[in-house]
Amino acid sequence: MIDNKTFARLSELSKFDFTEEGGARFNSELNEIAEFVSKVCDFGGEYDDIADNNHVTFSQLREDVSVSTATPEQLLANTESLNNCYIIPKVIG
Amino acid sequence: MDLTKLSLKQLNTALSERQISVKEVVGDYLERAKQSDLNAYITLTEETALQSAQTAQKLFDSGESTALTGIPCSIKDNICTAEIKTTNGSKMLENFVPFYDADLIRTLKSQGFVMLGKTNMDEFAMGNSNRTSYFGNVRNPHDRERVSGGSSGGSAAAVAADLCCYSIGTDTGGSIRQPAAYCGITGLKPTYGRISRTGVTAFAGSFDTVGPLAKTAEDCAIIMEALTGEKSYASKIGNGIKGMKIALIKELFTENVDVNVRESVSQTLDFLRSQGAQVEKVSLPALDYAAPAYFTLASAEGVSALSRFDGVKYGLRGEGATYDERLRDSRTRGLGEEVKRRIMLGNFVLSGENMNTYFRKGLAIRQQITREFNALLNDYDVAVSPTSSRSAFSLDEPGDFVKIYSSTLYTVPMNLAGLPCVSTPGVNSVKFDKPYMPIGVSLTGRKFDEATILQVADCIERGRNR
Repeated sequence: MIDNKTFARLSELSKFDFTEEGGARFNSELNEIAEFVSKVCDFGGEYDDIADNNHVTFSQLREDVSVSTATPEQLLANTESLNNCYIIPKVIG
Repeated sequence: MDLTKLSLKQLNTALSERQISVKEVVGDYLERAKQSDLNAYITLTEETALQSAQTAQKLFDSGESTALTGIPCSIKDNICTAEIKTTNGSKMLENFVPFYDADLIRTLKSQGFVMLGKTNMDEFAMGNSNRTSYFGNVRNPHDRERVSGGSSGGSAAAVAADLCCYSIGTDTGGSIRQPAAYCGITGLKPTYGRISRTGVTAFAGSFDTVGPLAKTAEDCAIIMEALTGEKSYASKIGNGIKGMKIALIKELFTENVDVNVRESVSQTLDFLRSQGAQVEKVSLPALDYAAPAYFTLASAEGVSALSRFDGVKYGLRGEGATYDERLRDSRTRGLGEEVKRRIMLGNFVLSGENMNTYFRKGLAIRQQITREFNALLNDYDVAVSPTSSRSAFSLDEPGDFVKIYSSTLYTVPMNLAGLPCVSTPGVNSVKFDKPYMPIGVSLTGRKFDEATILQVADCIERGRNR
């Protein structure tokens, strides 16, 4: 069900690295689990978005107001080092 | 008098009547917690607890105390506590110290609560035996070679072993109820959305709930009143259940359930009949798909929730020359195997065409289960089922993933439907399992009708204590 190529893609999406041996074991386990959840595919019914109110429409958007909730020091208190922060390139004008 | 054996209500009475001081109660609990070998706590907060005890005593002295004032409690380690480590049972957040309190902590603080510490849990609440915690297994107080259940295993063991009077846990697929059942206490998963999750680490946002684990149903009701500000949860305690209509869920009471558990549930139903309830077996056919649907949806949501752990803002920071290398190294080293399995599964069910064949089918099953539950609860006051197909299993039992995932069938349907559900030890459960291990019975109610399921749990409790 999950071949090596798919496993590699899932690892990339998940941002995990595996050793060759570890990856083979993990893939085998994942295949067992995927087979277990594949029972959902047998279910005859279809999902009704409207019944779940998933078609949300916004008649009015809230104002985009900046609210100060925490200091930069608080927000960065759990980073490894304040001097070791990444510089994020400016991408929007 | 051993103060650690008293229920929350009894402690509140003793404190209100000045029979004891907050300092005495907190001191006794701290002593027990420090000596315990259960590994129920990840962090003990002795200094903070003693300071809170002083504040609480002042509230009693000034006549401003509430039901929770001065009552020693524990908090699951995925609930943010300002200036106190909140690890989520993970290496990734081993040293994470939030600068803010979760909403529910602020609510409890305003009522003079005393927190003894943060409890052990399955990593990021993913697991049902507490064996996925980076901080080691929690041992079951009734048999140290068995699991406590999970993911709120530390909370359940702490309450059962009198290492705190009550605990606040979280329940995404049974994480309050199953450990409560394994440890022989009462655990309530409230209606989805009933208690604020602000400041609680997200696992699966459309399932996650916060709720109490306590020694009695009445204590759970008192805690719910304190957390929500609504004075209705304890209103039916002690009322009895005469005339109540109770459904036994057929799909959760099959040959797959251990004979000792079936016996305990049957005896409990006999007791409820003897108290004037009418009990009938009712079928919810879509439950056959419940566990696969839960793992499809919860894992998909987990992918998004855990994507924030990139080693930049907080958490373990890995090595590497580029952002991508560091990201991969942080996640590879910081997250445990069960969390990785769920993230990989989540990405699988969301990838390409799987979005329709898996994820949307999961949503369809959830809708059907909700419909079936709502129809049942139109006709019945409460639905009964075993909380688990067996009592607590050995710590050494091999991790058969499919078996473990399948075993959640008894708890995940209520999360899929967003309904309140309480687990309490069954009447006479002691008779059926040797050596004695508790067996839990689940009571599911209508949305926002926690009061009725707590009423029935209280009735069972009185039957147990006859």
